Amino acid sequence: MAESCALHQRSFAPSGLHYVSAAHGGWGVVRIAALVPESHQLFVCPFACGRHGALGGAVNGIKDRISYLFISEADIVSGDFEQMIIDSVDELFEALEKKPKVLFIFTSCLDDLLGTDHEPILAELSEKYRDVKFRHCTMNPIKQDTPLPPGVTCNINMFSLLEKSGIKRKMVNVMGSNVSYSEESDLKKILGKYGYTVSNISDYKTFEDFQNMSTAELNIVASPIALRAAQMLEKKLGIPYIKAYVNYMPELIENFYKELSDKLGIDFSDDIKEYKEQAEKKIKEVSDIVGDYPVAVDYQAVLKPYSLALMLVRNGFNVKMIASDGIAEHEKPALEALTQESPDILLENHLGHDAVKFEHEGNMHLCIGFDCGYMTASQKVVNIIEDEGMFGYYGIVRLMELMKDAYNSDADVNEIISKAGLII
Amino acid sequence: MRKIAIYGKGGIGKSTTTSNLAAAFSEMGYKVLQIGCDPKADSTKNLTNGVKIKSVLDAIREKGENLVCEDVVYQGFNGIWCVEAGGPTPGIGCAGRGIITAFEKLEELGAYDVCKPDIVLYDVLGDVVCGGFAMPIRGGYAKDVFIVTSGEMMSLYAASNIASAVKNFGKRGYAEYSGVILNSRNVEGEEEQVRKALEEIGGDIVSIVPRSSSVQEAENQGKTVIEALPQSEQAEQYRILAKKIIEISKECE
Repeated sequence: MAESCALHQRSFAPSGLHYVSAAHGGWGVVRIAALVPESHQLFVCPFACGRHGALGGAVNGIKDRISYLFISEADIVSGDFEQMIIDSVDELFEALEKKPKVLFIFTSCLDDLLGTDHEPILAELSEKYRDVKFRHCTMNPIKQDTPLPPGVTCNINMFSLLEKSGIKRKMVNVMGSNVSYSEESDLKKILGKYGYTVSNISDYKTFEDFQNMSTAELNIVASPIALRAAQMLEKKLGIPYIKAYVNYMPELIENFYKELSDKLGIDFSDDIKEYKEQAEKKIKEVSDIVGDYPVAVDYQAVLKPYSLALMLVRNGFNVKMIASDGIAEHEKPALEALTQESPDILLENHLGHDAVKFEHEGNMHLCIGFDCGYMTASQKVVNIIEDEGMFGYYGIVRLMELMKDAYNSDADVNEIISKAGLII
Repeated sequence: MRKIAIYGKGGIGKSTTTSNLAAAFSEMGYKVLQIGCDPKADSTKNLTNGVKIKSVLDAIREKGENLVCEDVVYQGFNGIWCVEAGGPTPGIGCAGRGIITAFEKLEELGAYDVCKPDIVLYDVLGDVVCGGFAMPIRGGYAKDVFIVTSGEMMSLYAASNIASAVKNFGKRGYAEYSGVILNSRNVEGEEEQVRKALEEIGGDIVSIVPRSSSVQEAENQGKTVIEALPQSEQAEQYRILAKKIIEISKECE
């Protein structure tokens, strides 16, 4: 999709040339893998890739958990770098104060082009260091458009570290969220009422405690990035999963609780009423405040921009722009409905080559997401990325509060971007 | 299931041998999948009446992520499943990486589940020159490697290189070198030359396939000898070879 167009004229043909704004990015694989407690990362890459990772690591406070093996052209063409990886692990473990429980060996795109077989390397290392678990991860954005992009394989590697447990706890894991949900969330409160805890990888500080996740009754998959990992856990550990990608439509959240009821054998229909009403009331309140002010929805802010836009339109918000570079399968019904109900919403591809013209600069919007804020130079910006911390009716209420705050104050988009840690 | 890789010097007759083997196996009642791993993408041509099928890489270029298994897996003579990995535009890109991409795509499309083969034959280009051309012998792929050679010096030199590479990978749990197929060129003292070379290379001659005009006659029809001239002596030689390979090769998952 190279140009901006109205929703009803949309076309998602790939564009050759791209523009990348300063606001482009999100949680990269380095930050995600660092969620595994007591893990370390060895980056096998050319110098400049390593420097990029180091800067990102510093921004995100994880630089002390990443080390680098720089490889040269001679190392690549000779094939010597396979042995170099093994040797560098010896050096790394000598240098670290404490041996990690897990070592993620990350390789960059160039290794993808070489097609190295990492299994024998991992087998040799595992034999040598029996107290360390080794996983090979890739930072290979060239696979971004395949069924196994880096984030997906990273999640598979992370959760493959969980080992089968004979214990079952009244616990539900949330996968695909990089942060734990608020204690105020309806999910935690409702499940808590029935003695269930809600677990997330970010809750754990030690590798031993992280293994608790294998005792859960159910995995809730909040984002497609963790779907393959959840499928792997179902096979390996026998933990079933439900897909519940973060969304802000009350009726879809109600459907999620119905599915959760079926899986856990508990009827939540009475429990959700209060939260649903609160969410609907909050939507109405903020819709009245924002009125006709133009709203823009950004694909970096939320997993389902079309679904969010549809909810907003149906509740009286004046959605004028959606920033997105494509359409995910799970978003197609929302896009179709939105095209019927609001065909003139502007669909803007911020990765398109002509985004560099900044044609919408100065068109003030209430922007849900700071990439839209950057491209339009709007000052009313909701600082949210990848639905962080949002889920269920709590997510709706929280988003509405953020929209209200953003509407009533001016944001410094450059400061938001610099603090977002977008590099890795 | 048996998974067999056929290597050998370029032009030595790998594709001819492999497709005749596939045909002979299919006659024996096995379900066969032949995967051509040469960028020329002509390994299976004699199983499909001389018509080249669309390669995996060409299909990826055309259809991208909308590719389905039926786009790259074709049925040829006697129900033999045929796949060609394909390669980049000659002179640019990376053929080795192309093989890796094609193999990954076949896994992703569930090609092995669709074909449910008893025997998979990998017909691989020339030599194990890089990681890509080692792909067919990695863990999970071929278990046995057979090298096609003649008594000519360059062919034996290539066979030695291939056997050496395969042995080097032995500790990784890759495929094992299981012997050579002597595809005769009627060189004087050919069998002796090969046996002498095998003293250094190791392994044994699995079978000797004599030189025969019936190979060319069949290929002119776009067929294997087994299909075009099933009663011929040469067809019988391929059947003997197929039986030997069944005896030698290992069953695997």
